[in-house]
Amino acid sequence: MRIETHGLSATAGGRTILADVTLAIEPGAFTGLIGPNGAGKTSLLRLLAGLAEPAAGRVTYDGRSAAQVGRRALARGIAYLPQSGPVHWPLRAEALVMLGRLPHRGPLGGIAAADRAAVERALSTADTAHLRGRTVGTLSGGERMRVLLARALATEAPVLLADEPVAALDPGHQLACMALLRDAARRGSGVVAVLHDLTLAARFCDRLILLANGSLLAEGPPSRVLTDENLCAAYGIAIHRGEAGGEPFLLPWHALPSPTCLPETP
Amino acid sequence: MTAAATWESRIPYPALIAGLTLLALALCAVSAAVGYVPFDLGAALSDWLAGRPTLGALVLAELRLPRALLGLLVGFSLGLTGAAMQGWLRNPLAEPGLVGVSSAAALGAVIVFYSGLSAALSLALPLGGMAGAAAAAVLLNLMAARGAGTTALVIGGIAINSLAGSLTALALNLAPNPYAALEIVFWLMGSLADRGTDQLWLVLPPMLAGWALCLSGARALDALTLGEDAARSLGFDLAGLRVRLIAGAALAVGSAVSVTGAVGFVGLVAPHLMRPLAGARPGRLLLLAGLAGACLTLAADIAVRLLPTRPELKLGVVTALIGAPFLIALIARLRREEA
Amino acid sequence: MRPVRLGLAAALLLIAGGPAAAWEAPPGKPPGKPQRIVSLNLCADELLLRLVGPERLAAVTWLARDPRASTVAALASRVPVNHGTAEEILPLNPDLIVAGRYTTRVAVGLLTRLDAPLLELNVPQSVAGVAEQIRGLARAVGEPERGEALVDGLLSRLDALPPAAPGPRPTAVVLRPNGLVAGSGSLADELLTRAGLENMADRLPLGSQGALPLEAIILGGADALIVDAAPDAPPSLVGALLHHPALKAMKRQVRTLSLPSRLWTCPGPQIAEAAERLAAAREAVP
Repeated sequence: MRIETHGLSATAGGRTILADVTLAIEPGAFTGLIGPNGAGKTSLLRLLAGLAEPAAGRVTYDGRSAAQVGRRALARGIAYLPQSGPVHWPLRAEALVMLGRLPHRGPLGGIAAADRAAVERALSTADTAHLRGRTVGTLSGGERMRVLLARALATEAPVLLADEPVAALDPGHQLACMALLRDAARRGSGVVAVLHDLTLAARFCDRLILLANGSLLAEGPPSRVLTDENLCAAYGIAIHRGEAGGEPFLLPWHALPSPTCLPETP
Repeated sequence: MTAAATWESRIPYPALIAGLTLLALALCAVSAAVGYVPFDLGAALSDWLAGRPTLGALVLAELRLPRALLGLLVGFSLGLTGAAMQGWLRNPLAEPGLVGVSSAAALGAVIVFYSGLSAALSLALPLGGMAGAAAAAVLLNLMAARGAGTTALVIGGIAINSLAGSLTALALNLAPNPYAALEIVFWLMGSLADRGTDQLWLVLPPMLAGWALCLSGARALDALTLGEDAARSLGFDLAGLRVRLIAGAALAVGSAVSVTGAVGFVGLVAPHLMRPLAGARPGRLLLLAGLAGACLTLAADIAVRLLPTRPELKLGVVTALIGAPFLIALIARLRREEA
Repeated sequence: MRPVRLGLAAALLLIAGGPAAAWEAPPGKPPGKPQRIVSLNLCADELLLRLVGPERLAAVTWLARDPRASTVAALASRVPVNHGTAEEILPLNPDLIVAGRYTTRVAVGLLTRLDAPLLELNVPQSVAGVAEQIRGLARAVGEPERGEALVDGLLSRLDALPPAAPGPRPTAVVLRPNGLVAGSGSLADELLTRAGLENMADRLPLGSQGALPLEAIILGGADALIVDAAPDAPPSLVGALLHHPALKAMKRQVRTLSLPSRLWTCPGPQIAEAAERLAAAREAVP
């Protein structure tokens, strides 16, 4: 499924949080949504998921509006993983992952073999099969995040929208999670993840969307988005670049004094 | 071990439902057999079935059975609504009694009853209860629906309860009947004493409709475990769910309270007891909590007749004696979790 | 329930012991005709309106105007009403205050400090007690002849009731609001007896004390069920019990009679009508 936005704007409490954002989310690509705190990343992700109404502009899914697609069909087409997803009742991990199958089940239909198979795949993909019998309250933060990721994966939707999926993970699981999302994109899904770790974003994403103050600052392959000027303008930071095993990497190195964000300091 | 076995509860769901249904029916039979005056139940039963209008058959058919069946229906309504409201507000304290839905229903019923409306049109009584319950549920929705924190819920409940309670007292004081002021105890504590078949038939249809509305939200309540955004992304219409649950609670609790008064704590204790058996899934909890609520209410109503107090204790006194310690333990636990 | 019962028993003793003393005008005052009488009790309203008429009454209770509760509503409409508070009574400058022994105690406590004589009416539990009360109150308001006439009228109507047929009398239970029944030693009990019925309240499965569950009343198996309620009474739960479907179903097997409370709650000539209706119900018992 291809998601496009056209002149998208959003407001909250009279304040503009997104202004005139036009972009496209392609199938088969892992897109990183980056930008400083308050840039409007979560708002954009919710608009992409059809969870909020834009103040202006529109979102289309293969050219159709959310209403034309229909709530149930949209739920089968887009899996949405909220930021630090709340879990309000002490469900077992496997039951939690099974919630991801709800869009596929009829109003009275029980759990089909296909549902069980999808849950198994999601559990093993997210490295959570061993947690299946645990209740949510007994999981560590990282285990919990992976179980919630498995829940989103279990929907097996063509689009996966994840809000900070690696925030709570240790480095090992961060790498595994990023690889997992990239693999999902390789298999044809459109994957969008809100990310704060620029190093991971640069290394794993096919495309990056850089938001600052509600506007689209840059969009494209990581090398084109993560320029010194863009990072200075968006985050007010200088970065350190290097190379490891033939792959370039970048590290946020120090904060810059805010007014003097001039291009290309020598 | 199969995949299903780990997240289903240890007792299979159909067996749980069957077991609780049998228990509720057995308690219903005990309730019909327990009374103040011993008489030949077997003879009364055969007289009743044969259509012989003996006094025993009359007591069985017009007093004992309606009381037992109303206990079943009211208990099921309170347990089910408690579970539905808890799933909706994602808080184990959300219960018709604590959040003020029951007392507002009592207010609606009191106004209709003492103004003489229900004498003119008997359906007005449950309608009054429903209107009160719906008003409280809407108010609660305004105050606390967005993932209600315990504090917001409890304060909202205190506000609605005290408002409804004082308006009930006011309505009873304005009532032209000299007994009205004494009857506040019935409306605030609830009782099944000397209820009749007329009340049973009056509240059965709205209760069934309310149950259906609450049960229809099972899937959406499951999804709400993950919060509102995730639930909506899973394809659920939360505005529609809210309307269905408010209407369902109003129909079930409103009609229950209009004939038995506000019986407290059943909606708190029943879901709490059943939650582990439902694997904590709010949708699966609904039916279990309804059946458990029926069992609890019937057991409490049997207890008020076995206790040597005359006139008999109000039903709500017994359910509060059981429920209040639950509430205190639950609040202590929630405070630990929120800290 | 118990304190009320004891209170009623005490009231009985008072009447039996020396009713005359209770009705004597206080010493030192001329036994003239009081002109600004205030009543704080519905039963006093009824007797006073019959004995002295509206002109000499400064106030009666608000209940007296309600035709569902009072047998003198038409007369009461010409008298100002009070709600049983001392504040309402003081400006009326009454020269006689009549109150009930068990009602408006706060107001009565305050009004004892006035110069006006205060009469407190007991609740008679027999026809003789009713006659004594009427005579006593009539003396206090300076109308002994009218009192005597009321008593004569009451007693002659009671004497004119049709005699009971030989053989066992039909049994009856008087069902009052809140699951209460009229036990032996009550005015209702004597009226039943005079009407040729036998009060079986004391032989009910759970006795006649306190609030009874409906099944105890039904399973008592009385021939007649006398429901102490007006069909047009304002709605109440205790009243609703009297319209329970179980009692409706009983009507097919048992004679039931609805007897408005106003006819026999207060002692007065109206109890004759209550007895007459009971006697008519007895005649109709199969």
